[in-house]
Amino acid sequence: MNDETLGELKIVVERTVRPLRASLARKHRIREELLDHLTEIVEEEADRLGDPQAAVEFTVQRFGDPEELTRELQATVPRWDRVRAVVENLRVEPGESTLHFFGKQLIVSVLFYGLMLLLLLPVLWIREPKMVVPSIFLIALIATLAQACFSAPFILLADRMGRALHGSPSERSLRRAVRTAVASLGILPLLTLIINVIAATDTAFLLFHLKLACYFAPLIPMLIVLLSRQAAEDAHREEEWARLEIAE
Amino acid sequence: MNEIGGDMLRGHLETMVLSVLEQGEAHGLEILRRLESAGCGTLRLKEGSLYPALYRLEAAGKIKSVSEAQPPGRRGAPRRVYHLTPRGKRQLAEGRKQWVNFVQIVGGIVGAPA
Repeated sequence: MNDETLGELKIVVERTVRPLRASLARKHRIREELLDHLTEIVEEEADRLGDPQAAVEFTVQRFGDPEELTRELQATVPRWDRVRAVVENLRVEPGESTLHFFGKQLIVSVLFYGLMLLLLLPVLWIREPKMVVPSIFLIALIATLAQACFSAPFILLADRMGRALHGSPSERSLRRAVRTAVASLGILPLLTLIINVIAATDTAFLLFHLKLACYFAPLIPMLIVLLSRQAAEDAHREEEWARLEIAE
Repeated sequence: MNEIGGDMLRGHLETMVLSVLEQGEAHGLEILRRLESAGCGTLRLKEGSLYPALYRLEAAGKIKSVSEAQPPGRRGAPRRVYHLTPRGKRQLAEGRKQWVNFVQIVGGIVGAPA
């Protein structure tokens, strides 16, 4: 089968799979399975009809309406998988700028911690009315710190590391990988420093906490390197499918 | 012989899939081939519709799948092969009982007893 025919089949698959609200892993599995199915039918039909283009048209007809199949497939996606898909949206999208990424993280954290606050407030109101205002500040602080100093940089640096080590030839760069690893060394000490400054701990404690954070800091680049391969594979795969023009 | 398709087929698709998997493990297209062969060419199923049925059965633990590499010389993604689980076998036995019951009752009503 030539690349052109394979490309046509991928478009048929993508028309079905792209609109699905499902996790990347599930979408990947469905894509692979449908593509394998279509490829085999086209090969069969091309042998029978002796015309590759007619074989593709016949195969698409045999396969059924993509929209209808999307609906049927959506009904098989469990609720937890849809939640996973929402969480996965926090990753760095193909071509997404750093600013857009941090903006998205901020919005999600505001929504998430806002929801937590809504759930917590009635309990606080009844049990500890004086704690309501300090709790709002505390939760807002935790939200900002966790998102700005840990989750967002971690996800972003894992993506950068994935591209530097396992990305396309133009993205691969050992120097960039080392820079990313060095930058990620700062995540834990920075977070520790900010927490201690806000909590107004005395200098001795601050130094002790910083020493501890520096001791564990190398774990972050190690973790990022470990996760980067999978992150790069996922990103590369998604980008390849996302490039397909599926409009009819 | 009249063709069978649409809702009439969809309502029994899962039991039919379990039934063809009783003959041995198979990937999606092979399952369709077995169904077509057993139906003497009268089954008219849009092929994509098989997969939602497979995923439902798998989620319910009635079938399991494993990923297998493509045969040498063939391009494409790894192939997923399905097989029946003990729960699927029990479901198949139950589906057969329900089918016999359905045919007896509906056959009696429409004046064409089995």
